[in-house]
Amino acid sequence: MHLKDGMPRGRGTGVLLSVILALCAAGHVARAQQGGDAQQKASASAANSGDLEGLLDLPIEQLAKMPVAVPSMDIPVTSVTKEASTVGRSAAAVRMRTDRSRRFLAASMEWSLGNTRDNSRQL
Amino acid sequence: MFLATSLCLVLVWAGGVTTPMLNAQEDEETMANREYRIKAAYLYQFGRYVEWPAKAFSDGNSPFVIGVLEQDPLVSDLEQIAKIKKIQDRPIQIRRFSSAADIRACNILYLPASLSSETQAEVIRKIAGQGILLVGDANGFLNVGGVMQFAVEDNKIRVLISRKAAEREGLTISAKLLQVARVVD
Repeated sequence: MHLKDGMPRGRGTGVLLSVILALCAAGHVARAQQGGDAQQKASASAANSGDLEGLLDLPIEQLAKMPVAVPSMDIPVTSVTKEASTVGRSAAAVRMRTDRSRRFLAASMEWSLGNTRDNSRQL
Repeated sequence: MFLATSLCLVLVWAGGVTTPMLNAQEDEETMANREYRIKAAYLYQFGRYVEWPAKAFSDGNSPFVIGVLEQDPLVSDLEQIAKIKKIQDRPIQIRRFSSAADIRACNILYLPASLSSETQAEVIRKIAGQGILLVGDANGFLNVGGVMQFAVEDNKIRVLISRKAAEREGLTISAKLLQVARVVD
């Protein structure tokens, strides 16, 4: 049995199965990683008191050098007041819109804004 | 074939889309916590780098009081600090005030950015000259009579100081703190 392009059907199915298996494995790895992240998060919370103690023992010059924002929250945006800001320091609705726009690959700003309004009604 | 392709798409979506969403949420929490924690650490450090007038403490055993007007996430970090540290050999006490009228004696008073400028001005009018280090988080806090203000500059928390307001309160700020901060007047 052959397909039109000449590739044997058995071989094609085999490739497809391999791809599916590889994706399943990737899914498991991602889940395991999430589990690891959760564990790391729990460890970080447990170390929070130590973290704070570390800050208290820092000389004030060092404290002044401590970064505040994590990189992903430092994306430059322009707020409705037309002032430069970052995602992390903007109002929640702006963050929500950004996340939702990315998630659904929003093509237009109108769609995105409509979605934010719906969401705020739910909240 | 269609079923297999759909399955592939679902797996890709599950792996590629949900993980960044979860990470973004975690990042947001981390950022907020870090900012509050650093500000709380600063408030503690101010206790070490500022000298209060004698009238600020009733006696040698009285605690060092840090007051916070209204609820702010910073309070939990301050309470944690109070459990493990002392300032000028005095135990630290954290007091939360629900309104300007509720404010009692304290050594540092922190006013969150959520307060209106009218409330900030009202508080400053009420307690000016009592030897209290007034620290605020809102833009323009020094313009309404505050002594120190937190500002985020270049992804770091910068301390702005009004030397005039500090003099008004009888506070002496160490050269080291003045060096790290930005003195505005």
